[in-house]
Amino acid sequence: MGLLFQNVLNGLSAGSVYALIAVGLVLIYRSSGVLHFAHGSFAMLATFVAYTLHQQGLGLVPSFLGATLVAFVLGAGTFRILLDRAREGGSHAVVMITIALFMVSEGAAGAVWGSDTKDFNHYFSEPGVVNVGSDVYLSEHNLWINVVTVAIVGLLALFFRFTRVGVAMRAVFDNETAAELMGVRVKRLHAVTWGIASALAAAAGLLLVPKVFLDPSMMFAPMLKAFAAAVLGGLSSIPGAIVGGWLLGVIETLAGAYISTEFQASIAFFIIIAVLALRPEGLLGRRKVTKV
Amino acid sequence: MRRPDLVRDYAEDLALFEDRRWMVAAVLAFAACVGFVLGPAPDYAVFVTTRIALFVIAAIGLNLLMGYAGQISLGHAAFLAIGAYTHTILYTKGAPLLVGALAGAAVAGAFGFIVGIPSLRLEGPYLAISTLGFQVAVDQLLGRWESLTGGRMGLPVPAPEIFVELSSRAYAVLSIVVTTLVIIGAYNLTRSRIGRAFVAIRDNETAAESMGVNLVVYKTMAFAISAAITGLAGALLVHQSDSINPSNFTLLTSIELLVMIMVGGLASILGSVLGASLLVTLEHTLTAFADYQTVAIGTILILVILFEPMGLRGRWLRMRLYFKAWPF
Amino acid sequence: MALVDVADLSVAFGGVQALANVSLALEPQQIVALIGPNGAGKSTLFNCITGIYRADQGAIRFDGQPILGKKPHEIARLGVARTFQNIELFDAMTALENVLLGRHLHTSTGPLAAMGFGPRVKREEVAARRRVEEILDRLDLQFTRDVRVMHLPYGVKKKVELARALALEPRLLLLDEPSAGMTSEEKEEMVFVVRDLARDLGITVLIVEHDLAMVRDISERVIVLDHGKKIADGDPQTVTTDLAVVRAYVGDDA
Repeated sequence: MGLLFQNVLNGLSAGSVYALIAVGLVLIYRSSGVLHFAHGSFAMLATFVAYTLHQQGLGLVPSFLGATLVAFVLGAGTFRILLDRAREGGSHAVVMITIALFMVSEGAAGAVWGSDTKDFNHYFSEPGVVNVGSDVYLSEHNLWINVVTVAIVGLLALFFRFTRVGVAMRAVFDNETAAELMGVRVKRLHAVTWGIASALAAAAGLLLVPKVFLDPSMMFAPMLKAFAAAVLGGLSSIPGAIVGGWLLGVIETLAGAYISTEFQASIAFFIIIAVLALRPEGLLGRRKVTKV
Repeated sequence: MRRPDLVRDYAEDLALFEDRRWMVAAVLAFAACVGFVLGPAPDYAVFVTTRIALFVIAAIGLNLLMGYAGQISLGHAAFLAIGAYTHTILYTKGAPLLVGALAGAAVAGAFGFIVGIPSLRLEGPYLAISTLGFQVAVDQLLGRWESLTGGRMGLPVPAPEIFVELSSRAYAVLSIVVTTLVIIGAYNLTRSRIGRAFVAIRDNETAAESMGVNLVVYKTMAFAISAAITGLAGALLVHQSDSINPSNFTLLTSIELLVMIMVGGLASILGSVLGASLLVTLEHTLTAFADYQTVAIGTILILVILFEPMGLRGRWLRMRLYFKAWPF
Repeated sequence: MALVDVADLSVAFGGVQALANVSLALEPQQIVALIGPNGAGKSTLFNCITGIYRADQGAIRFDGQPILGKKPHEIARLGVARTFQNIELFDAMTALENVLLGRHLHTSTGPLAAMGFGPRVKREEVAARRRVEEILDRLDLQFTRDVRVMHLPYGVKKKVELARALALEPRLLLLDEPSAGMTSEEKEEMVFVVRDLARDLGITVLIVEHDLAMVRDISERVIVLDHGKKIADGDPQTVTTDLAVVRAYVGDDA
């Protein structure tokens, strides 16, 4: 029993990172209808920025804030400069732009920082463990991951409920044309949404980096997992993305513990295929009806 | 398509070339390619030419699906892989080269059919994710199923042989001939009722259905044909080296195929030829700048999408118009 | 026997009852107009007959055969063709290619034969082409042949859509506001074209139309829908002066 609980707890910690990335994917998809394949790459770039700032002697907190800010600008700028124009070219053009950004980001990171792996340990990665139950332990790093994720999710919920910008964003998600007619500056809101989503991705990268190594492809696997999480939750539902992330993390960890560790790596793709085949609208998504 | 000023009957409209001059140009181009690899080309150029020819096939395969039928696939390297592994396994067991290659195409086509099934219910973004999932799943499977695929180490590939062992120059000629056949076949397909049905589905599913196009049949057919053609390319690509392994067919390869058709021009056979030629050439001439290659390709792609959405083919059409109107 | 027999058809979207127990029968070679205010359920009825929507209850028979639950392409195969309220053409194709799509069900080339494009395929293409050119001639659309339809004006697009539907050689033709956006001259021409076609080819036509003058010119019978219910069914003169109909159009205060 204790072992099972331990595995679930570890799974939730892994899932928190997926959830943070997936929420960003869903935010971007819901606001502008773009499936952002470079989302993980932006997280990787932000993590590199934090690393560099820290190397230059800046404290960890200012480095993190600086990286998050860079991510925000990167995301918002991407929408304003590239996506807004590419959207006129149709859905293929949009997908291809984000794939091109993925290539440019990974290639540029390799050119600037080198493709060798680096260690970026920071105080989220203190080696200590916390005893949560009789036989159940949580590493301090995982504790940080979960606390920060829950805090961010909470802030996000408050933001959408109580701030003017958040409410306007929800209006745009529901009906872009209507929102525009009500005087909402839709494009600016899209850009802000992209910025927030990228900042969330930066947070995910910073939380994750002590567990993996810092290199240009560090976010590739987590990014694919986040896609699986988003699909699991319905791709258009923010709570769905969070639940999907945690669920995927737990399923993955349990599969690794009870079936085989090899299976652990590929289970996300079986989930994608199964969900899309059986229930494309996901766990919490809504089915769309097209009108002729 | 431009028509001669006076058309005597509709059959004339259906000739492979709208004009005898184009036929001459095509025959000359073919002869030039064959002459080049048999004559003055250095070994490396023969290698690159072969590679271009085979990637033209793969790009045409993807363009039929994405450009014509409008269904996105981020997993076409998986079909290359399926064709390659099927062929290698059969060829190693003694099947003739062309039989193995066709079997590779057939197996890839069967997988294409299966991957196409979700497309009946999924629209764009979801299809992108499911084909991406397929790509990664195939990669994992090839890496793990060691008894069949040799795992991450891969499989050795025996030298190409049709009655006699083929030199790299002879193999280049074979590739060019097969590519020419694929170009003609694909072009014929696009101007037939099948090609029209593909474009109809791309432009307006509801209207296509109402005109009697069976979406289930035609969408899965588009996937199957596309995958089979790409699988054929994969099967023939294996003889470019003496072994294959999963790292030859990664997501990056899928993306390169996408870049080829986006840069060359969607829904255009000529565009597939131009795009594949350009990209393979860049890749094998700019080896000194390998570190910047992904950045360069990504940047080219962004520029093409923003400034030349019809790709190289669009450029070409405009140049043709310009020369037609010259000197005005 | 009636060619089309709709019995007790009901469809609801969420809380909106788009069609409520609608029954109607169309005799062969009749031209019937379907009128009613916006949201009356006219297009919904079309979408049910052509299999795009699935009705909640009721039955539709075409030539005695139940077609409810069949897919759109299966219904097209039985000989039902339609145009759409908001023009659903294949935008990137030329008008010729659009109309050739109407020959899809009358041709049978498979993918492998198409790649070879041998004499048999060529013959089939030429036959389809000849048929399509006849239709283009008849509708005065030759000038659009090689123009991508996205570049055509609205009224011409409507005609291309009609041509495409005719190329299918339907037994039942459903026209959804074919004269929308046309001048009165073009409308008159449309009346003649549709009447001639129906007579020459023996087609049954169900036509949604807002222009009551045109309705009187074109149809032998008029059916009126309002809020998803059939409120009148009869000859044009009687129905278009019927009090309930006028009320449905002008509002309850009239």
